[in-house]
Amino acid sequence: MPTRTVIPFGPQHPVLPEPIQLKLTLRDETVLEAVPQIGYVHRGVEKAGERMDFNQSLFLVERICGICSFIHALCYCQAIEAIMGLEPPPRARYLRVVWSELHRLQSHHLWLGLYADSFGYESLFMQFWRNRETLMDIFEKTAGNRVIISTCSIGGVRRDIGPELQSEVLRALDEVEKGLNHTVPVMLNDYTVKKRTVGVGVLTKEQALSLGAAGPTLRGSGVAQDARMDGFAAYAELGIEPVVEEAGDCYARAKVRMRECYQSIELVRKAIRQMPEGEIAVRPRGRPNGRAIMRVEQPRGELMYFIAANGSPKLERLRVRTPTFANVPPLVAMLPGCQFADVPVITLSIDPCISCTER
Amino acid sequence: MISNVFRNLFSRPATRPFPASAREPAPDARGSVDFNIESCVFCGACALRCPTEAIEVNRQERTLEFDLFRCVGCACCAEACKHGCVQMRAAYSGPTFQKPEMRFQGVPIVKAEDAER
Amino acid sequence: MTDHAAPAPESPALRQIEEIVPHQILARVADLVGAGARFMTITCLDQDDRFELYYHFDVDGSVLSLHTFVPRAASLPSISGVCFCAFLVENEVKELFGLNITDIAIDYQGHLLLAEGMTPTPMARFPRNGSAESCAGA
Repeated sequence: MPTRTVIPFGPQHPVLPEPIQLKLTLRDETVLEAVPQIGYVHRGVEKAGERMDFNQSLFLVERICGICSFIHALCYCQAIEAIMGLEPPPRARYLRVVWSELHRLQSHHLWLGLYADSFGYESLFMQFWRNRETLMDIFEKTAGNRVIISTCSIGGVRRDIGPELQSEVLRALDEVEKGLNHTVPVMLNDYTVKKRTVGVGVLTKEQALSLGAAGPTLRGSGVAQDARMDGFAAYAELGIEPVVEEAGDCYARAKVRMRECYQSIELVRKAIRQMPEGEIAVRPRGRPNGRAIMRVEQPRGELMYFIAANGSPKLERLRVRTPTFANVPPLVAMLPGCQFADVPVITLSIDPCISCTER
Repeated sequence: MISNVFRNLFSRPATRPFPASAREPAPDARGSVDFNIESCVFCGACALRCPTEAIEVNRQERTLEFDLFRCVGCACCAEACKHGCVQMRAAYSGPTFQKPEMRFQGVPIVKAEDAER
Repeated sequence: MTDHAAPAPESPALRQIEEIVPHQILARVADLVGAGARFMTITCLDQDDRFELYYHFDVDGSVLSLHTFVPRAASLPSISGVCFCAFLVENEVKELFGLNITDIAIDYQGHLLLAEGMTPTPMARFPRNGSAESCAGA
């Protein structure tokens, strides 16, 4: 008689990099149901954002997530600028694109490494992370820090990337591209990798839309939606084409991210080529009074901020909706029917970032 | 992957033999904060801008207290200081066993009428 | 009641806002989901005698928000019946603000984000008062 077992997968598990718990109901090796449980890293960021000056809250929101930190800061700054009616100068908008796309590159490299590790391919994991080190060095040279780069400010950016640094960035990108050319074909064409990922964790187009998926989880199921198409920062001038795959399985989501890596490299090159001269920031005056909804595209998906301000130095409400929060219900829908050994592969294929989810 | 394996076999290791060779930080890196208390006028601008309230300035007693563990290295204090007393150093402050005492005492101001007495 | 200055609904900073009353929410959400809109999230603000709610949707690439006010002690029916993915954020709003949302698809009983012994409803600014009244049949 088939037995049912309930296994708590996570929050501490060797293969899972993020503290999410999935209570899996199994019949032998097949997953019947998954119930997610989060709350292990809840820090109360939204409450803290109401207790600090709005200039200081910028440094708070940057630290919601270490991998996509610049993009949190970018969304926050853009929302405050929309409330205050500030227009950052063109050079600042291009610099913001450069740093955002470099962040996307390093995040996808991190993910590709963890994903390879999830099905046991540790040597490929190390290759991707070695490639990522080139990007971290570029962050240190251009922004002063490797992880939390603190370069976005309300009204523009805090640092400039001059001509010598720009050529260093381009040299580093050539190196990164060469590294990708050596490792991406392995991820796409290797027989074992394909056996573990093709047809696993399928999310259909209708499910992706009705369950509110975001980012590569949505685009891997054939929906062409990318928050960068809104045209914030310099994306309207640079032009953006969402990267879409139709299959909706783990392989498709991985392929979306790999193609986005190449797209990011091209975007940074284009932004550096077209970067206009000028100032890097306008000085904000006064305090914000009003409300704004701003969304940007994080590596993991669409990030949405709702900021309400009422003229005092502290914000009335700072609401952050991160993409992994939106991707947890699709994960719950993808898991039933898969084998137990596929659970880490599927969980990682949505690119979970639980510190973003719980804030 | 076989080509990657051969490339890795016949190239230099990707890691550095630390502590035999240390890593040089980038020139403009925001590693740690340096205070030059002699030129400080205790205006408190750095303390006002600090997002984590790591700096406490007492104007009357002319002291500046810096909580190293609260500092996140954002360089807002360095930007806010108009007298050049707060600088960012590229190297990180190293690991330590005890909390370093970071309380700086400035030279007390002698008022003109006190100096005459 | 706190007076807040919000930009006019047609301001680009707020995208598209649609004013709605609480008992129409379920029907309107069912229409939007049926038409292929993607649910984004729910934002809750604590104004002293009532909660202000925004339900954000992505309709064909642009953001539409349903804006409503709910009296503090009222109970609101969950939309997770028609929009399953809302269960996570409804649990969060219930837990952090104390807004009583009923019949959520998976209900974490106040322990999604907060652990035992933590201060309940940390995001709510003002203490609770008033009698329970349901807005489902208003």
